[in-house]
Amino acid sequence: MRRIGLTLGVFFALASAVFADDLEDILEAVDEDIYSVHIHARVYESGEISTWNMDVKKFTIAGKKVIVKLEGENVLVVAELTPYLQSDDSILLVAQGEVWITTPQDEQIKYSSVIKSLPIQYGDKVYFYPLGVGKIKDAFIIELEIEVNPYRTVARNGKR
Amino acid sequence: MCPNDQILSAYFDSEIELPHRQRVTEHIAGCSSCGDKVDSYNTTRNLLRSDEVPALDESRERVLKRIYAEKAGNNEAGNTFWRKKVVLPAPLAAAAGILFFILVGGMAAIMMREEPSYTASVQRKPSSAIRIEGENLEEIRALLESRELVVEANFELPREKDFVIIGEPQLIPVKSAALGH
Repeated sequence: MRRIGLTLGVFFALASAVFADDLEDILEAVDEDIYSVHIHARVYESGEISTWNMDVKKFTIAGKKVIVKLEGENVLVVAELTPYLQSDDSILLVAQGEVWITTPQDEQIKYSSVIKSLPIQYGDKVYFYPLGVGKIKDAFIIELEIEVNPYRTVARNGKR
Repeated sequence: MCPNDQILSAYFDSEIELPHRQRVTEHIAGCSSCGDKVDSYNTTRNLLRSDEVPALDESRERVLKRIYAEKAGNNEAGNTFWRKKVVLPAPLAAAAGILFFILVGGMAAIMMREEPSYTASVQRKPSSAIRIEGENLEEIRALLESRELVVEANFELPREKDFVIIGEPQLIPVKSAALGH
């Protein structure tokens, strides 16, 4: 009985040593390959301070899109943000915007879509304007400020 | 008719009584074959009675050498470790087998693991530093377990505002954004 106990003890010690090493690799991969996508959505009139804003932070991995839906009285905006890791460790941010909108003049729903991409570095901030941007009186601008960082940086800096 | 070998041998040993002995004597005198046989008996008896002893010393030495050689060989084989019979209980033998395979497997796994280069080993974080930090572990676990290719966030825009298309959608770095807020 004592011999069997000794054998099992050695077995579990070896197994835990091997699996602990694998777990370490997994954690290291998780630590480096998960991205934090910080999105700050604002609505403002041209030249004015923002009248509405919201923050959200989502975690994703390369190739997995973060979908942001903005729903208003006469508009629905769907922005799909997908980070792709490039060979030089930079990020290619692909933003696909879809807009369904009605105008007071007619009751028809207009639809438009666009795909934009931009190579960025970790920590760079970019703006995405799904309705466009410009100085038009009484027009509200929807702005998405996007920042992509590796998860470990966000976690260790204590950002939320 | 010649007497057989038993009668001739008995005759030579003087075991045949008269008058039969006389008749055999007369026959041998006239029969060269039987006479030669009796002569050979006589030669054998004389040889056995002689004092000459065959040279046995050489044979004895040869036999003794062979015996010693075989004995030495048997002793050497008997002392070989690998020829020893070791009797193990079945559970102990099974446990020893499992332990052997675990050790071999562990060694193989360690040897097959890619050895990091010196630079990589310098950059590699120590075990104690590798851990998931932060307060979003549940979200990360869900992300890793999810098979869906999307992560969603929903916002409700202010209801009192009417939005219009201002222009072409744009994706621009903050650094080069021309418009201020």
